[in-house]
Formats: sequence, structure tokens, C-alpha cells
Amino acid sequence: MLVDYAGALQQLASPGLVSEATFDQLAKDLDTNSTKMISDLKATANAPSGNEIGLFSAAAAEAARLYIEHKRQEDLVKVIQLNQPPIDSFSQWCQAGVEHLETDFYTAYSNQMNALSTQLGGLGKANAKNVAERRALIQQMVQLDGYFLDSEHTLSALDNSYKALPKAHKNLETAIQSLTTALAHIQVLYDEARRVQTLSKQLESNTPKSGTTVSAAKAK
Amino acid sequence: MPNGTVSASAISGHGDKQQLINNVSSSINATIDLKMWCDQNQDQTNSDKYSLRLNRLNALYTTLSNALWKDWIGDAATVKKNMQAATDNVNQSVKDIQSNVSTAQNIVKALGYLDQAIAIAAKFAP
Repeated sequence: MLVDYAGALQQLASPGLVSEATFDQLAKDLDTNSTKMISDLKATANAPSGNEIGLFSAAAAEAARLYIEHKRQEDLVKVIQLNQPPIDSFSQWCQAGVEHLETDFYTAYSNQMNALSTQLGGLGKANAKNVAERRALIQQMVQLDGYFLDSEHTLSALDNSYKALPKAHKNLETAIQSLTTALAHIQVLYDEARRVQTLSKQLESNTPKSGTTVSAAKAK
Repeated sequence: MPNGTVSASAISGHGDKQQLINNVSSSINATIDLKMWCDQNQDQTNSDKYSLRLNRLNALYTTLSNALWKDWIGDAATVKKNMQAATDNVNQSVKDIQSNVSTAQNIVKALGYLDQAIAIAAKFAP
């Protein structure tokens, strides 16, 4: 959802939308037509000079381009103001999901660690007979720790991204005064959206396939 | 510019419910710590009591967590609709600009014809 939105914003702010080249070509075409006509009118003293006609056409093309550029900036500001509430809601909703997931992960981790500790305690003191079992359990505990820390790190990064989203979107409004700056800000927003996508996939691939699966969290 | 967004207040507040499951989660962790302490100190009686308490807390946690996930997923349609409307707003602006570019091109072309008309008129000027 966020990637689509940021992509649409990129298109609205992209230099290609109001391309100078389109208008330059138009001015050039007009200029060529006018110059040809001026050459036919060489004999007429009152005819406007080729330069004057060229300037008129070029000025018209430039005026149109500036008008549309201005209109585009106005539209960008309008659309960003209009879309701020849904962006705020989206951010809150995602943060709520991430916070809940963090609690689920932590609770599942504690329960699984408890189960492994109980099993380890049940083996009694280390001796030659239980050394392999103890080692296997300790390895599972270490794996569980690693998995939990990785997931925590990913969830924390996701949470930070979602928290920063409303402010980043709001900042676009001021950045639009300069389209170059606006485009850079939108690019940041777009990159952030892609990062969130990658983090979500990373979280999915983090899920262990062994017996240490945090089942309660995975079920979500 | 279309604006089909649903008000932000239509999305459930998760704060209080989240706080509740955070508290239950903390109780679970505290109980686990106590149970482990009992296990280490060979206090089987209290360890069993904490085990029972842990089971009850986990059952409560699962119920609350499932209910909260249900609420959260229930809001997904609204959030998606709002984000789609936001994207549609931007796409509509892009279309408007593209249409403006096309109109401006026609105006500029018309001005070019005006250039030609002036030049022709100048040819016949006394």
C-alpha cells in the first residue's frame, strides 16, 4: 500500500511529467514555421522580425510550462494535506500491529525458554551420560536467543519506520517549494516503504523451521 | 480530486487492549522467573503452583491476543480503502497535470497560428 502511494507521489513530482523538452520542442516547431513565413515576407517592411516571432512563441511555451509547473506544485501540496489523515491512520495501525507482534514474540520466547530450562534442570547435574542431551538443549537455547534478537531487531526497525512516516509525509509539504527537494524527500519516503517491505520479508524468513518455532507469534 | 477516505476515528484504538496484554505478558515473565528460582532451589511445591499460574496466564494471554489480532485485522479493510483513496488522489492529480500539459500545448499551438496570422496581415499592411 505504502509503496504504491509513494510511487504515485514520485510520478506526480517527476520532472518527466512537465517536461521542459516537450515545451522546448513545441517552441522550436513554432519557431521554424514562423521563420519560414518571415523569409516569405522579407520584402514587407512592416513584417515583424523573425526574432520577435520566435520570442513570442517561446514565451508562450515557457508561460504555459511555468503555469503547469505552478499547478503541479499546488496539486502536490493539496494532495499531501488531503492524504495526511490516512497516512497517520496507516502508521498507527502498522505500529499497533508491530507492538502486538513484539509482545507475542516476547511472551512466546519466555515460555519456550522456560520449557527448555525446565528440561535442562530435569537432566540434573552434568555427567558423561547426559552431556549430549544437555549440549543439544543449550544449543536450542542459544538458537532461540539468536532468533529472538534478530526478530526484535527487525520489529524495532519496522516500528521506527512506521513512526517516522507521518512526519516524513508532512515534511513533503514544505519541501515542495523546491521540486528537486520534494523529489528527494519522496524518494526517501519510497525507499522507506521498500525497506519496510524488505523487513517484513526478512521477518518471515527469520522464522525458524526447527522445534524452536515461536508458534504463537508465527500463527499471526 | 477524489477523496474517498474514511475518518481516522473509524479505526479501532488498540492502546488500552495492548496495555492489557503487555501487563499479562509481564506477569507471565515474572511467574517464569519465580518458577525458575523455585526449580533452582528444589522448591517443588511452589514451582508447581507457579506452573499452574503460568498455564492460566498463558491461556488468558492467548484469548486476549487473539481478540486483539481480530480487531486489528478487522481494521485492515478500512486502512486499505483509505490508502487506496490517497493513491487515487495522487493519480488523479497526475492525470489532471497531463491533461493540462495537453491543453497548454494546444494553446501554444494556437498562439503560433496567431503569429502566422499577424505575419500574413503584416504582408498586406500599407
